[in-house]
Order: sequence, then structure tokens, then C-alpha cells
Amino acid sequence: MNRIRRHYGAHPLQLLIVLGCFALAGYVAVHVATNPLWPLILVWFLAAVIGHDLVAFPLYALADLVLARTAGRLAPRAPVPVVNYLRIPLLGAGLTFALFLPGIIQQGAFTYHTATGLTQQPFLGRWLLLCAAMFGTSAVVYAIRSAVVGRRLAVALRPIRPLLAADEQVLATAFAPGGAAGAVASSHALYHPAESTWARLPWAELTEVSWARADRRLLVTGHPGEQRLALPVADPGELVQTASSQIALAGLGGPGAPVRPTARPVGRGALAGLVSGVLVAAVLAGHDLTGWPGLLGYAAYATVLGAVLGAASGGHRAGPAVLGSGGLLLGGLSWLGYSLTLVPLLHGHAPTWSVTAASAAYPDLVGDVLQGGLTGVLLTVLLATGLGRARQPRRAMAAPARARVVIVGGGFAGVSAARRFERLALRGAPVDVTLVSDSNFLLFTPMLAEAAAGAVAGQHISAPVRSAVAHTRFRHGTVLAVDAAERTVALAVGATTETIGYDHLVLAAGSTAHGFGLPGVAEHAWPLKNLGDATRLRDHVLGLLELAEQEADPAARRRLLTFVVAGAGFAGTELVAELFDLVHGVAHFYPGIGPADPRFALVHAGDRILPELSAELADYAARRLAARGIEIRLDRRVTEATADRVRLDDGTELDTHTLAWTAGNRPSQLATDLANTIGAGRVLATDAMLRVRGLDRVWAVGDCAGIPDPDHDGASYPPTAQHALREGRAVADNIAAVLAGRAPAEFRFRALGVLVALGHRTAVADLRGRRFAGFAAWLLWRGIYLAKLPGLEKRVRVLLDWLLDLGFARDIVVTTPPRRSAPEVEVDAR
Amino acid sequence: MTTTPEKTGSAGASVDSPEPADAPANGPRSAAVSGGIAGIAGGLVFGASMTVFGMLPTVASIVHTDSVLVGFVLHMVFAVLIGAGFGVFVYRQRVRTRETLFWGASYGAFWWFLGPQTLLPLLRGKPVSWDLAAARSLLPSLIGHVCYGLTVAVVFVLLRRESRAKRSAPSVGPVARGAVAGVVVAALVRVAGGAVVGGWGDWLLIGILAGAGYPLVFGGQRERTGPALARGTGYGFLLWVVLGLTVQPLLRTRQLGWSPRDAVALVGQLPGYLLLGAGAATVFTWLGALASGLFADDVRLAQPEPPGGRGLRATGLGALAGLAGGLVFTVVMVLVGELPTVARMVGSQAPAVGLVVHLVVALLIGVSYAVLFRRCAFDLLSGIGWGVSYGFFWWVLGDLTLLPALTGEPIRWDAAALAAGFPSLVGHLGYGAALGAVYYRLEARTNPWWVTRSEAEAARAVARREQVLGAAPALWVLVVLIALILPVLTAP
Repeated sequence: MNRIRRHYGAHPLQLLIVLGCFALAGYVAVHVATNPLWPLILVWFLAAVIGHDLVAFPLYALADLVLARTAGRLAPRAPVPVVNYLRIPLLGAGLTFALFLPGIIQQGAFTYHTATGLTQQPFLGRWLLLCAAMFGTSAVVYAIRSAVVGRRLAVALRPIRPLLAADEQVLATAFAPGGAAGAVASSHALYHPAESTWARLPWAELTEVSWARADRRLLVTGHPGEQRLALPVADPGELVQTASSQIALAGLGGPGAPVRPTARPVGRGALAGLVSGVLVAAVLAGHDLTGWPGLLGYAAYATVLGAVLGAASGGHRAGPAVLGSGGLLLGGLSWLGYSLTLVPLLHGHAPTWSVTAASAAYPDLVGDVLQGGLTGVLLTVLLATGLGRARQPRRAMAAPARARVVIVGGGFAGVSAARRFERLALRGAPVDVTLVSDSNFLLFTPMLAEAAAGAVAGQHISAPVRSAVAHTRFRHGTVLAVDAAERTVALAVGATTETIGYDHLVLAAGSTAHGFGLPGVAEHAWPLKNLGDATRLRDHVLGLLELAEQEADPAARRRLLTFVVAGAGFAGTELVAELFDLVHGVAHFYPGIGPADPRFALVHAGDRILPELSAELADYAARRLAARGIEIRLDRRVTEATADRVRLDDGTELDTHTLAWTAGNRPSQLATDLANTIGAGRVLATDAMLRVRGLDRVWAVGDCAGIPDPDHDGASYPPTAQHALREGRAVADNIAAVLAGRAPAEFRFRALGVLVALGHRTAVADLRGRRFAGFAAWLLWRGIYLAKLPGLEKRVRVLLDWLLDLGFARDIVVTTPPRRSAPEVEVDAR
Repeated sequence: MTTTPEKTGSAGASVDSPEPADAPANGPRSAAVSGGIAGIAGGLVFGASMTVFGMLPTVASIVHTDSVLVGFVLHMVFAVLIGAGFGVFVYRQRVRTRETLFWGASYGAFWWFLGPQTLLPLLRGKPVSWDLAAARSLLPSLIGHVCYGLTVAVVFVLLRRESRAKRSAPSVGPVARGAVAGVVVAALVRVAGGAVVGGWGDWLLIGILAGAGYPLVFGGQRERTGPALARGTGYGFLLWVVLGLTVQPLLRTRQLGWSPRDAVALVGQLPGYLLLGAGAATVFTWLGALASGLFADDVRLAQPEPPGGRGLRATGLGALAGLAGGLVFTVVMVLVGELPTVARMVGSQAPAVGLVVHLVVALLIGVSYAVLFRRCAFDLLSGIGWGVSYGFFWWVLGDLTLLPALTGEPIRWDAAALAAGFPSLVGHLGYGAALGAVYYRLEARTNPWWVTRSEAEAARAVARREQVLGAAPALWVLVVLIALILPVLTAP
């Protein structure tokens, strides 16, 4: 058996089923082929396949997702997860409905009657009975299993109980054949058997709970020290479910467990509705307007209305006027919905909503208006005086403590995380988020090369953080240091420094250009990491054009017009192409510059440009650039840079005033410093859940983080915008999960594709294996990045930039003074 | 005391300064006393009408007598008690003329259900008179209750604030603007409704009075068009009560037009008044925005947030919500067979065409709702409230006015036409409720404007919420009550 399994890759039974399916399909195909209607059958079959896979299947998946989430919320602490006990009868109900549907809607009633002599009347009722039987059986099985598991838990935990504090709960248990092998309790401590006694591991925090299927052990990891404990487990299925649903309830972090909005307003609304309903019903009963069963029904109806009022009001402590009005409003609407609509339907008539019907239902209107108004006033009293509060657990009454989350960095990852937190906060996540960034805008870096070439305005590819995350507290400043032990960050705002405390820290500090300590690179190279770099580079290039236009010496002019880009990754390749477009696009403003004067060189240490792309696309890109006259120097490294020269490792020297540097990046200084403090080198290594290894409650995402990619043998995810966006969302979800007492999820993302612009109407693209090149790829590049720009306003502005670019030359206004005086020195020297 | 940006922008209007919520004078006991005193004034007004309609002996029958004097004394006792109740009811609200006026009207209308239809018969030892015939016979009482509520509200405001707070007289600008808005809208309504609203001269005069009265009553503050439109609808109803049923009949026949016969006869004017109020408020608001945009030299008076990306997104959400509301309305449309009528707007009779037209209209109205009521709802209830108010307005404008005009039918505003349009009114209210609820949910998911990031912004959000919603619940209730008592006014 195992041999078959090893060779085949799955259980032999699966192979048998597949073969059976093929046999069945072959049998059907043979029969259909002999049928003259086979083309019609084929069309129906294909339509059914498409309809099922594209329409029905997503609906199943969505329904299942909703069910799983709802079931988890309904009974988060149930000893046996409830979801499968709903899923199976629901599935059965759905399948039998599909079978019974023709009978239920009485399709082909005449044929059915002619053939069988029976009517299709009983189909609906029998289907309902069948559903009731399935749900009932499921409920009984669930009840039995819950009782058994509860009993086992109680017995297993008996030896542990004395070791627990008074208010401590056991959240997960590992079973061994002889009873409990270990347990996780709510105070972040772990117990496990050491021979016949129990020991307590005083861990500050649990970090990971997972199930090792191979050796049937529950693995628990905790801080400090990344201690790992393996507990032998006898009942894996049960335990894993228990672990995943309950163990994280320990609240792996955050100040105080989150408290979901309680049913207070709903419950009190129901109480108010019941009281007012009884009063109105008493008036009705005293004068015998309806019978007692109807009056009881009315009380129930009023209770529901009260609950709706409580829920709709959100539990705000408003005055009696506001809630009274709300009650009256709902009362009036419910008269329309119930008395004028539902009642006729229940009596088998179509509602007419006529004045005559309204006149007949007038008594109900008065009752509903009075009942609604009274309910609102009573609800005000209940909410104000706290009546009905006594039976609520004290913890549920406490205002939820909000965890302070500090996000460092206003790039894709940081802003994406903040945006996700806003969404989560709306759903009740108890977070108080502060975003700290030294730039007050979110830069759309994929278009940075275009900005450097003046194809789009710099401001148009950047969105203010304050508008991108309008509901997050934003601090414009620089984080100088992180104290992970004290859980604080030192923030410099202007000339002052202050300390901000956090419960969870998200580092999304990005990266900076890295010159590898090569002589002259730090001083003379032009990086391209932020908007300032792009603006300065553009102004520098235009300034050189101004100088070159006035330069009489051909060699000096040649030097002024030589542009070297180091690094032929995405940024470098796009930059050299864009600079080429810029210089030649505005050359007509400079009659002294000949078309052959500008020179462009792309220096790359690898054996081909664009190593992130396939060889074919990279070759295509190289050919297109070379065809324009851009020199591509492969297997070469820059070894030294001066104000007017770049030296390569083969001794070649390029006379230039422009060395654009895209050859190396490194994590920001803050991330590097933090990594150094824990001896992790330069990169902040995280686990798959985005938690920084070795640091408590510190998470890292984006370019500054080394996040393991499980699909690539633990290699880190690449530092791209699409990854940073997803990492930001994932870290917010994970922190919210931890605060809610759930386990954080692994981060997994498969890149959507790569797009590289090669200047004038040309690009290359690789979208999930589909390759594009040339004009089509360029259109894709523009379309996709336009859609990805943050905010509609920016999209419109960039689109306008592009449209204007079709009819007008690029702007050659230089707004910033030159960064260096080297060219000026040369001019002065003449 | 909270100062809001909107208030900063109130050019030359009355300055309403809410008192601190924790001031001792604002406690429930003090409010009850003020309300009780206001109740005396209201009782006198209502009592006068009761004398006219001979209702006082009925009140006196509670103590087994038919003496008018005893009835009046009892009535005044009730008036004081109910007035005190009003004080307690609204003491937590912002005490302003414009807000309290609607609270008073809604409170009075509610007491019509609770008092003469319920408590009075019970106190007399009889069954409650919850039937349409009895309710119609009590129409004078309904109008009396509304007038009582209005009077109590006005006196309550005077007692609580007007005597102590500064109040600058409204300047000529807003009043003139209101008069212009009123006369323009009145002309349009007269063209649409014809002679049912009155002669040209009378009606234009009413339009001028209504338009000029709007800033005088509610202040000339700059506000959003949506809330202004809803308030204008309520204002139109009050105008009908005060001008249509009271002042005009008094001037013409020296009698109140509150009797069931008169009220039913005059109910045809109600759509005209509703459109006049809503239109005057809307045009007044737009003219103010236009004047502010063209002539204000202070940027702080400009719109705080231009309609940019978020506005466009809100429009998309409005379309979605409108579609959801349209689906609810479709149920009514299908069951009452209204779709062919709608299809006639595009020259067809087919129900399928009608359905498409109906959904397109629903979508467009949803978009307009998003434009007008964006950021006005902060919980589900307020979303439903604004939506229902807007749905009711569209019943008057759409079903009673535009639909006949677009299908080539004469526009009929009379009791029979209103009665015939009642199923559509139910559909419009359902549409509005669904539209408001769905839009609120969508807005809450995408742009939770009430979730704030700093204390200062939180204070601004609270101020905005208070300002937007100060009178809003009363307004919603008033609109719903107008809709629900239509059968009483229009049943054959």
C-alpha cells in the first residue's frame, strides 16, 4: 500500500475513484456518441460545466466561507466545532433540493400525473421533512459528541485544576492514551506531565501552536527563548480542531482580551418591546379587539421590534426623544411591512396596499405607533439606568481596551496595514493605530522612473497619507529607535523627541540605496528611492542639458550628456529608458545638442539585464534598448565614482556627470539597528506569520523584512510593491487575530506578475506565465499601474499628464538648485 | 459650547447657541416646569379650537359631566402635564426654534394617537376608538394637537433660551433669498398642480411667505441639501396646517378648515405645500451655496471637502443602494400592476420595459440620495430615517407629479388621486428605507466618517452629528406620520 502511495502520491482509493470516474465518463461518451442529438447534449454539457464552475462553485465556496465564519463566531468555545454539523445537513439539503426541485415547482405536472397517476404535491413537504431529519440527526450526533468530549475534558483536566489560578481557564488540551498530556491555560503558561507530576512553564507568551501530523504531536512554542514543547497526542483530529479554535483564545497579546459588542442594546430593546407590547396588547385584549393567541403573538412581535430598535440604534445613549422617534419610525414601517404586507400573504391573498386595506388595518397602525414610541422611551430608560444589566457578565460590560498599534513607515506596506486596521476597527477590532512616517505621502514607486524623466509630475504619483488613511492617527516624524523590552519607540518630530508606547509594533520602514562602500558612490551617485531623488535627478539632467547646449568643447559636452545607470533590475532598466526618452524628447529645445551627442550606458553585474524576468523577455528588452543606442555593459561592476567619471571593474572609465544608482538596496537604518540588537544581521527576519524572530510583539513587513517564502525553500519574498501591499494587510489581520484570541495566519502570496516599461511605447510583462512585449505590454503597463495608483484623483492627474504628453513636449523647467557644483566648476574653469 | 465649521459659515443669520448640556437649568425638572408653562400656551390655543368644534364636553365626560368649563379646566390640566412631558422629552435635545418646532409637531401628532384615540375613551370607560371612521371624526383634534405641539415648542424655546441667549436679527439677505426661492418654486408648483393649490396671486403670495419664513424660522445657516430637503418637506406640511387649513379658511370664511369635510376637501393642496416647502428649502440652500461660492471672499466659507474621489465613490454606492431599494419596490410594482404605467414613460406598455425603467429610475434616485445625504447617517436608524423621508418626497414629486406628466396624463392632486397612489406610497417608503439602510451599511464599510483619528476631529464629528441630527428624528417621524395618516384623509 505504502509503495503504491509513494509512487502514485495519494491513497490508492483515490486512484480507484478516478478510474471509476473515467470508466463512467467513457460509458456515457459511448452512449452519447450514438445518439443523433449528441451535439445538443455536448452543448448542454459544456454549458453545465461552465455554469457550475463559474457560477455555482463560487457560490458554494462563498456560502461555505460564510458558514465557517458564522459558526466560529456563534460558538467560539464549543468543545466540538459546530461547523461540520451544519455543513453536512446543509449540503444534504442543497443536494436533495436540486433533486426535488422539478417536483417542488411542479414542472411537467401533467406528464408526471399521466405516467404515475400521482400529483407532485407532496414533494415540498417531504423535502422539508428530509431536511428536518438531517438537521435533527446532526444535532443529536453533535450533542452526543459534545457530551463525550466535555466529559473527557473534565476527567483529563482534573489533575491540572489545582495548579490553575482562580480565574484561569484551560484553553486547549493534548490527550495521551492515559489522559491529558498537556494543557495550555489562559495565563500564558503551559503544563505538561513529567512522570507523574505536572510542571509549569512560565512562558510570557505563546507564539505558535501547530500540529505535527507525522509524529502525532502538538507543538507549542513560546517566548522568551523560543522554547518549544512537543506534546504527544492520541486524538489528532479533535486536538487540532481544539487547538485551532481555542488555543489562541489565550490572547497571545494585547492589553486585555477583546470584547465584542454585547447584546445589550438588542436585549434591552427586546425587553422594552416586550413591556410596551404587553401594555398595548392589554389595551387590545381589554376591549376584545383580537383573541388572546393573537395578543401573545403581538407581544412577540413587539419584542422583535424592540430588539430591532435596540440593534439599529447601536446602543447609543440618546435622549428619549431620539429613541422614541426611532421606535415610532420603526413602528410605522413595520405596520407597512407586517399588517399591510405579511398578513395578507399569510391569509393567502396578494397584498394590495390600497387605502381600503390600510383602513381595515388602521387599529394595527395605532397600536404600532403607540407601541413603537413607548418602546423607544422605555429603551432610553433601560439604557440610562442600567436596568437589565445585572445578568450580564462583568467582563462584557467593561469597555474594550484598545491595543496600541504603532506602524513605522508610510510606504505601501505601512499604509496598507493602516488601511486594513481601519477596516478591522469598523468590525470591532480593539485597536488604536498610529502611523509614523518621515514623509507625509505614499509614493507609488513603480512610476518613480517616469517621474524622474518628467513624464508625470512627482506629486501625481504620491498620495497624502492623511487622505489615504483618513481615520488613522498620523505622526509626521522619524523613529529614531525601538525599545522592544519597554515596548516604546523614540520619535523625533522637528527638534523634539518623544516616546510612544505600543502593544504591537509594525515595522514597515522600507529600504535605502546601498553603495556597498564603493569609493565616491555615496557622494556622487544619484539614488532613486524617493520623490526627492526623482525630482533632483530630473532637474540635474535638465541642468546638464542647459550646460551642454552652451558648451563648445565636444568632449566636455559629451561628458555632460553621458548618463550611466548602475543596476539593470526593474528600476535601473526603466530609468535608463526613461532618461533616454527625456533627453531626446526635449532635445529640440537645445539646438546646440546633436542627436548623436547623448550617450546612455546601463551597467549590470549579472550576465543579463532584468534577472527577475525570463531570459526571453530580458533579451527582448536588451535588444530594444540596444537598438536605441543604449550601451549595456553586462558582468561589470562600478568600482569607483567621481564627480565626472565612473570606473568599472574591468578598468573601463566612463566620463560622465551622472551616475544613477539602482544597483543595491538595504533595509532602513532603523531596521538594521534593530536587527543588530538581536544579532540577526542586517535583515529583520520574520516567521511566516510576519513576527520578527526574537522580538516580542514586533512585526515586520515590506522591504525591511526578510519574510520566508514557503514555496521557495525559505527564501525571502522579493521587495516589490505587490508583496508589500499584501504583507501590510496580512500583518493587520494577524495582529487583529491575536488580539481576538485567534492564531495568526501564515503569509503566502504568489506574485501576480511583473511589468517593466522600456520607454517610448514599449514594455515587457510577465503575468502569471503569460508573456507580453512591445506595445501591448506597454498598454498593459499603463493600464494596470494607472488602476493601481492610490486614489481616483491621482489616477485622473496621471492620465492627464499622459494625455498632455501626447500633444506637448515635456516640461524643462528646473525648480531645484543643482545638488553638486561639479559642472559649474567646470564652466567656471573655462 | 461647541462651535462647528458650519456655524462659522452662517452669514447674517440668527445665531443659535446651544446651552451647555450639564447646566443646572437644563435638568429634567427645570425642563418639565418650562414645558408645563409652555403647555398652558398650547392648551389655550388648542382649547380655543376645541371650543369651536365642541369637544370640551367630551373631555368633561371623564368626570361624568358635560360642563364646558370643567372640560376646559381638565383640558388645561392635561395640556400642562403633556407640556411638562414635552419638556422632559426634549430636554436632552438642542433647544433651538427650528429643531424644537418639529419635535413639537411630532409630539402633538403622537398624542393624537395616544390621547383622543386611546386614553380618552379608556378614561371614559369605553373601548379605544381605533378605527378609521373614528379617526376621521377626530381630524380637528389632530390638527389641534399639531398646533398645540407647535405652540408648546415655540414657548418652550422662548422660556428655555431665547430670553437669555444672544439673538441677532436675521439679515435681509437670507430672507430675500428665501422669498426668491419661494416664489420660483411656487410658480413651478402652480404650473404643475393647477388651480387646486389656489389662484396665482394667492399662491405666489404663499410662496413668498413660505420662502421668506424658512430662514426666519430655521435660521439661514448653510447646510447640506439633503437635510434641507427633508426639513422642507416637513415644513411644507406645517405650512399646509397653518396656512392651508387655518389662516386661509379663517380669512375667507372666518372658520377653521379643520373639520373632516374641510380637511378632506383641502387635502389636494397637501402635495403642493409639500413640494413648495421642499423646493423652497432646496433652492434656498442652493442659492446660498451659489452666493457663497461666487461672492464669499473667505475660503473658510467654501465647502470643506470638494466632491472628489470619495464623492464619486459615494455616488457608486448610492447607485447600488438605489438598486437594492428598487428591488424592494419592485415587489409592490409587480403586485399592484404598476409596471405598464411606468413603461409608458418611454412609450411602451410592456412590464419588462417598465421594470427596466423602474430600476433605472431607482438607481438614479439612489445616486441623488448619495449626493444629497452623504455623511448624514451615523447609525442604521438614521439611515432608514433619511431614506424614508427621501422616499416620501419622491412619492410626491415622482408618483403624483412627474409620472403623470411624463406619461401624458393630467396631474391630479385630490383625495381620490392620493388614495389611488397609496400603494405607490408604500413602495416609495419601502424603497427609501432599503435605500437608506443599504447606503448606510455601504458607507460604513468604505468611508466611516465618524471614526476619527484625533480628539479635535472627534469633537468636530460630534458637533456635526448633533447639528445634522438635532431635528432629524422628529422630522422622520413627522414624514412617516404624514404618510400613515393619509388614509384617514383620503379614504372614500
